[in-house]
Amino acid sequence: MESISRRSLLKAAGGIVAAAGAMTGGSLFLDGCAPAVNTGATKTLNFWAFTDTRIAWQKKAWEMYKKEKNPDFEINWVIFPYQQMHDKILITAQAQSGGPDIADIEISQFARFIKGDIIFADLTPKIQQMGLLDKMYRPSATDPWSWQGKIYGIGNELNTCLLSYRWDLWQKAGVKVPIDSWDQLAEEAKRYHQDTGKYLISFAAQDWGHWFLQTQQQKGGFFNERGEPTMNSAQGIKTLAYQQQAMRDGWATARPIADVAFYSALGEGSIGSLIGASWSFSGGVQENIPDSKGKWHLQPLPYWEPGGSRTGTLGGTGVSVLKTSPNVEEAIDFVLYEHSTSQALLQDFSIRQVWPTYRPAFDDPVLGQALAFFDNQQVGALIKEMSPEMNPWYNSPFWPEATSTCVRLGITPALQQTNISPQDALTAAQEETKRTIAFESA
Amino acid sequence: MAVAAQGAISRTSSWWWNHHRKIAPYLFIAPFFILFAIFGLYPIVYSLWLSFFKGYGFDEKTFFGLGNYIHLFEDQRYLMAVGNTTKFALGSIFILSPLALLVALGINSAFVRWKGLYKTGYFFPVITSAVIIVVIFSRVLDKDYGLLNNFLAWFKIAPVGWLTDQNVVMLSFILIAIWTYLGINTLYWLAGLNSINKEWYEAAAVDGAGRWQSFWNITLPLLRPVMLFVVIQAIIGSYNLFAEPLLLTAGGPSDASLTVSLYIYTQGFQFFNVGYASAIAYSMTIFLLILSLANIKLFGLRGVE
Repeated sequence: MESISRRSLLKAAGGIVAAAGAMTGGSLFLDGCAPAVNTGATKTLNFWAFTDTRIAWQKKAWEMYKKEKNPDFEINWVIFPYQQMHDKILITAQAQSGGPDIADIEISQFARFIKGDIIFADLTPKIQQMGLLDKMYRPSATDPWSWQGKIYGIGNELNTCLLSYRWDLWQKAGVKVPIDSWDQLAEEAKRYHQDTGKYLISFAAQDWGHWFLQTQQQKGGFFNERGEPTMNSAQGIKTLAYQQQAMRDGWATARPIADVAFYSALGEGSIGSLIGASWSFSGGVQENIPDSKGKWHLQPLPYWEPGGSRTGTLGGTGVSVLKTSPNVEEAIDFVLYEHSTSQALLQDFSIRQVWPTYRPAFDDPVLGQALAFFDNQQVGALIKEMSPEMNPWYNSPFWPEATSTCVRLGITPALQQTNISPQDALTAAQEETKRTIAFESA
Repeated sequence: MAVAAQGAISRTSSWWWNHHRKIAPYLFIAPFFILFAIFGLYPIVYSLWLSFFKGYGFDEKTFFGLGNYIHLFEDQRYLMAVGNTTKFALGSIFILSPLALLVALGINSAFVRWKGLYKTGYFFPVITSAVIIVVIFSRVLDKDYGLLNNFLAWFKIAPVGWLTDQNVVMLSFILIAIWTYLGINTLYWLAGLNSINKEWYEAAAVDGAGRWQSFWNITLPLLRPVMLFVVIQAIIGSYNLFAEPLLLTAGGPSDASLTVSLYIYTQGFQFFNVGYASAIAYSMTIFLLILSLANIKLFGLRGVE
């Protein structure tokens, strides 16, 4: 009896496996690598993202695309945690199986996908064919996803950086606005700190964001157009020297490393301003300190030299198409459609208050409307005015190596130990980056 | 024809009938071994293979011999990561584990009531996600706006850069580890304490031994197998420290909280330098193997019986 039961169990187990195989068209084992959604009759493109808010507008764009173009494919939207999604794209590309057709790629993650054989499709010919280049604010739209003259991704987030300040506190302390130059800001910040004991501004000592922003404002950056490291350029040194002086004189503080602490400081007024793009001065502030509504004003970044740029670009997420996709043309067509259709982009403005990189979209008056959060300031108009002043900048496959080394050996030591020369610190970072690149690429 | 087919089926049935008792157990355990071979063994062996190659990204790899391993000794970041991780491991062994033993002794004492409540309470952080822990401690440990420095300010202690001071940041991770893993380590010690026969203590008491003598001469020697386990898992766990420094400090400031696991991840997934990342991983494997063997030797189980 016992042996019969065991045999029955084995037979039943075998039967279940066979039945499962039959139900999936015999693909249970053989087709295991292909995403299940691709086994249907209609073509399905997999779109990977890391936040549902970013794909909300893209889903609406997709509905518009379907109505307008009646495509013969569907899109399957998949959300992973941020780091996991980027890691999985690497892994699936390495495995040459199971990856997406389209993916959201965050700016600082792009570099590792262009090491060696680039895994993304080149969007340049189609962008040129559509005549889009002159219609985009390129430092935010395409520069972050470009390498050696080719464009591998496109972003809709116009990250024109501004100085966002607590006008209620500044007015009370008698700060003269607008602040035109960084030198003038230093003078105001010294007086503000002396009078109130609080800080007019903070600079990041453990990440590269503020250093890059202020350096890029002077046409500097981590790399030149040939992809060579340039962090100890005159612009980079000038930026770090300015920030170090601020720390040494005590009129600026180090930006708290946790966002929650930083926004708390802004909310309670112990730090009176921030420099950054809309994801920070609008998204981050409204999400973390909604009670500060109406207490914010925006102005252009102070210039370094009269006539110089009064803005920069920082951060952002773009959309790339993987060249391993069996439907590259379809994917590119949709991605460029959604980034060059004003009505689609306005959806993102209404959902996330993101201003678009596509210039014609600014013709819609909704982008220039007065915003209550900023004391009824016409923020869109200011962004539109400043965006043409953004300088171009250059990415590299060695972006993570350069940025982390710059923070480790350049920015953090110089801002934490103010006796270290900014030039020495950045030169040490530059040399170390070169050595790392040489070891990796030899 | 039908007869031949029937004969074939009969032969198959007969073969299965004769062998199924031997084969069936292997079939039952096969799924585990197949999955392990694909997702466990293959990556382990392949990463060893990769550690002898050079090349980044998706390019063809070129044979590099022991080059990646030799580079380890010249790589200041790697040496710093090993140093930081070792500090953390020492903290786990010499601060966390004894603290957990103290808590276990407290819970195990006859004077403490609601033992289950304490066990559950101490265990809660273990089941808390690392991300949540990081969010909590980012609020606690911030230099200017954190709860801990606010608390210390009551005693006129100047703000400490828990996450920004290179000399202090690893201590912060040890504090986080104590909060997180005290409970699970307490349970290990409790398991060991409960396995000690009470008659030993009764006999010692009859011979006039005090509490300290009983602890020193009975409890500690009989806890040696648990001690070995606690120490080895503390070492291995320490060298796997990853999520907290990644999310809280990204290894900063200036690599002061860079751990070996974080460095492997940085090289493998950020720099996509998989050959070198594999070499780092294997260097750690060898290092941990040596440490574990040394511990087994040090805690030699003889005399426990």
